[in-house]
Amino acid sequence: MTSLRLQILFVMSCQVCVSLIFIFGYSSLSIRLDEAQSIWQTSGSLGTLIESLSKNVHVPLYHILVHYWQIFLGNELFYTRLLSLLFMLITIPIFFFGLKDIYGRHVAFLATGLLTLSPFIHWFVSETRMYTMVLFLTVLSQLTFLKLMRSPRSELWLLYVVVAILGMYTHYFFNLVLLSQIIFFFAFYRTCFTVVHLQRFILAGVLAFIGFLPWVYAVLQGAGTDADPSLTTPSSVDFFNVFSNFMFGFQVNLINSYILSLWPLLFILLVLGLCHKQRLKPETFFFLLSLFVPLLVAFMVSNFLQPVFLSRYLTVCLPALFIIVSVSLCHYSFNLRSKLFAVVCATCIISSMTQFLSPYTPVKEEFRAATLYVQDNAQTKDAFFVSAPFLIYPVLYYYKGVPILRTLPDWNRYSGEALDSSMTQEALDQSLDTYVNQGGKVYVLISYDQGDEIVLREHLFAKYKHVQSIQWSHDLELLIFES
Amino acid sequence: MSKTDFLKVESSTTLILSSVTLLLLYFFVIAFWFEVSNKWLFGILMIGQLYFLQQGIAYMHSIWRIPNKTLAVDSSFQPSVDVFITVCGEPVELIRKTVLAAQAMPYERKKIFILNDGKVAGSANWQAVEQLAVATGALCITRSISGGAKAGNINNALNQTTAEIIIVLDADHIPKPYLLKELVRPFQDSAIGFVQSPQYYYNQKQNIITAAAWAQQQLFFGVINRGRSRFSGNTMCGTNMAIRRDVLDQVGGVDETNIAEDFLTGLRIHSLGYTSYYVPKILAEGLSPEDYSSYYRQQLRWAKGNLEVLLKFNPLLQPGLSFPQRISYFSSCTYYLIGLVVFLNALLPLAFFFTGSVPFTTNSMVLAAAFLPFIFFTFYNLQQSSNYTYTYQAIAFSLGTFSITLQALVETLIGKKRSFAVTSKVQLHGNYPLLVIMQICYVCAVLLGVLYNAYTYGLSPALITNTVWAGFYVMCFSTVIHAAIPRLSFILTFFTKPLHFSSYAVLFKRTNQI
Repeated sequence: MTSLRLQILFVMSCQVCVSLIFIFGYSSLSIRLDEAQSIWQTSGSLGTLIESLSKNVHVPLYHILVHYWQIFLGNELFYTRLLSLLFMLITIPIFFFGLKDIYGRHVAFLATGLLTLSPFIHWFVSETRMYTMVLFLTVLSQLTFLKLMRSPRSELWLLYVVVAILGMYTHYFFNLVLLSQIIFFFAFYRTCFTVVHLQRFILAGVLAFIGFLPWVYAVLQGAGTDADPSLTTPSSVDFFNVFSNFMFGFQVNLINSYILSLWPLLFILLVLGLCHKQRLKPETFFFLLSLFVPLLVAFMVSNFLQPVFLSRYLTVCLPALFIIVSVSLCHYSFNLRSKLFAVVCATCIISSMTQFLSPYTPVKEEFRAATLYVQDNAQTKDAFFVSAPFLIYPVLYYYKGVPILRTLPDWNRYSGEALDSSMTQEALDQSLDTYVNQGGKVYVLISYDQGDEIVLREHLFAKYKHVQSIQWSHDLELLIFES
Repeated sequence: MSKTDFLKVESSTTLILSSVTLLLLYFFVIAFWFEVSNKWLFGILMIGQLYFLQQGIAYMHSIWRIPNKTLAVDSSFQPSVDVFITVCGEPVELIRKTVLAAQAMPYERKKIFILNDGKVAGSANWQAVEQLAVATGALCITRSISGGAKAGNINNALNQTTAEIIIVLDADHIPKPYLLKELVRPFQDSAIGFVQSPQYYYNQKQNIITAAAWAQQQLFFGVINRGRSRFSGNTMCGTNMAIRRDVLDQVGGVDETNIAEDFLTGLRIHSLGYTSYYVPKILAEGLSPEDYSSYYRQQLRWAKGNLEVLLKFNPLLQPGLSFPQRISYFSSCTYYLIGLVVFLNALLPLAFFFTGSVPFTTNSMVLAAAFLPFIFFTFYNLQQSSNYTYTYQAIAFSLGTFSITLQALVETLIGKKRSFAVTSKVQLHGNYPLLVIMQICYVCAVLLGVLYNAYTYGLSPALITNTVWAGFYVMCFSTVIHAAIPRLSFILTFFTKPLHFSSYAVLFKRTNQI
């Protein structure tokens, strides 16, 4: 078998592997809050979609794609998630052959292997969200940029500009990919670039900026956001958690703390890697910047301006991390490299299985089971509430029960009004007294990472007789009371 | 990689500034960020951090803007030169190669002297060396009265010779034809007191010890000496060097009071206001120690000599030295405190395993956030500046041979005398477990400690972190243990085959004065 055939076979194997993990595993997981919101948003008219997104924290391209995707394939969860899989499947060959071009096949094999086995990727391949699209555009942008460094052909510049605009319309954090490229360009200008590069790079920047202006205008017209995610200011642990998430997915706190406590291992690997008698290529510095610039900027912004630090937003750093890890592995002897890679792969596979199977996986949102439980058990006289109000999106996706589904506090998602998730005793009592029937049961599905749900919980315990609590997943609890 | 790669060094101002910034940041994080838990352990930790801070900044200072001097050539400059080949029992064939190569050096006003110390050292071949001199046409000066070791040998020859420039070669350092021209040319500048060139080991690929010894040498004779030549801070290294006779006379000859006689003599010359010059070319090729016992002796001598200089002639207080020279000499001397620092730092995980005590408490990843960028920049800077010649073996030996420098420190502090022991030029075959007994004990203590802690306190993130730290030391120490005990059958034969106990004399006895 020729080398090229072997490489194609490897790439196809990776694609099959990701597809199988999706089809026979992760696609069966319950709908998540974010994707339920996306599916609901994209199921309306395009105008409404763009209007609502202009007030949201996201840029519109992915949602527009999902909008048309649903027209053709329907809003069945499996099919909407297929779009994410599709982006991943086209990322794999681009990633492999792009890296092979830069570093040779060894790095390409290792990095693509890591990408395929990453539990983080498995999670977002099965979510109707923009993260695999961001990944695809990030990889394409970074590889095009490096290709331009060596051969600044016009068609490549065109591709670079188009990808930059698409990326900017896919996620705000894509701008950090471009920022890394700008920093690298000027830091390595003398060694890697010419005046022609500079001229075209400036032109590309101007074109990308102009291309993004319509959305800037739309956001200004929308006058701010109506749904700031409730994020906390990140700590140094959160910073390192991103790496842990990328490599080993989302694990329970105890396992995660064990993983993070291994950090001195990075020192040993770093020493071993740097002791290799080999210069680091400029491309490696590029990926180092691509890894750390978005992370540091997001961390700083989160600490000094507004919390925006989430590992999924930082998907833009993921390809760079896998490339750096693979380049480092290739600095070791073949023997050590093989053993380390085997250990990393085995850990990734185990982590992915744990992430999929464990009910305690922190990002798991078991809305389906919770909703179906209520549907099967709630009677006409009973009341069913969800809190925070956003939970109505995933619950409604499954719910066909008798009691009317309501939110606490009361919220009309069609009104377009900003949601006030803070809860006062009066507002709660007003909702509860209005909708709860005497003698009936009260089912309240609470997600604890969305707002003041602890206040609500205490209030409910004080007001009604507690019958049962069922923990469905990490932060999702169903409380049952008798009125 | 070519053998001159270690001389093709460069430094990056950006990288140096980044490294220093991160080094300082890391130091301040360690010193002030966390809540101190056990003040004794914290003190131990801080000793190590202060040491690395001082060594790190001194290194960055050394490599700051490496000069690329070119000397003006005056072909009429031809001072008289005496080439001293110092001999003390080395194999005659080895000496012959050096003598013949020295004679082949094209230079009119030169004389080749074999300084034969074999007789006073009790070597069996001292007469054969005299016969070699006759056969090759070299001049031989054989001492009959001992004293001063290699320094005494050179001083004895100084009294019997007259040339303006003295060139010193160890018996195993075979000179290149252009050595004389390269070493003599800088003396056109009357301010130059001595000229030094690299000490290259041609047997570097023979085994792990020669490779590690060479890797350590590369850093010193590559980037460090090239950098230090910016402020005339090169240390005299005893071979492949040239000294102006009248300067040597002014400092009273080569210093006989210290076993690092070359180092101290160079310091005295600098103190008089003379400058030095470093020739960044391989002008002679010699032998590295080939077995752990020889390596141990050599390192012990260097360490003890430097530590004695630190205590008796503190370079920071020496009159006549410029500030950069003081820093340079001071960091050379304090480098040999590494044994103490490694020993103390390696104890920290053990303290945790057996007592649960830690220097400070932290629930965050701030330590990792400060340490990892610092170590990346520092190591990358080290590699980039040394032209990627620093190896894992060099690191493992620098840290793993802590027992040598620790022994040197103890001997220096208690004032134990140690004479000049010539590094063996032939490989001694055998296992030397007693020379690495501390390392072996440490590995065993770590294994026991991990089990004890896991059994007593259960699995915890702190146990994992400390195990990985201890694992790093175990990794370095194991490299040295392997080098000291090369025969895999050692464990089986430990009690059945005679060990080379004679080699352990270095641990307990004073060697014979020569």
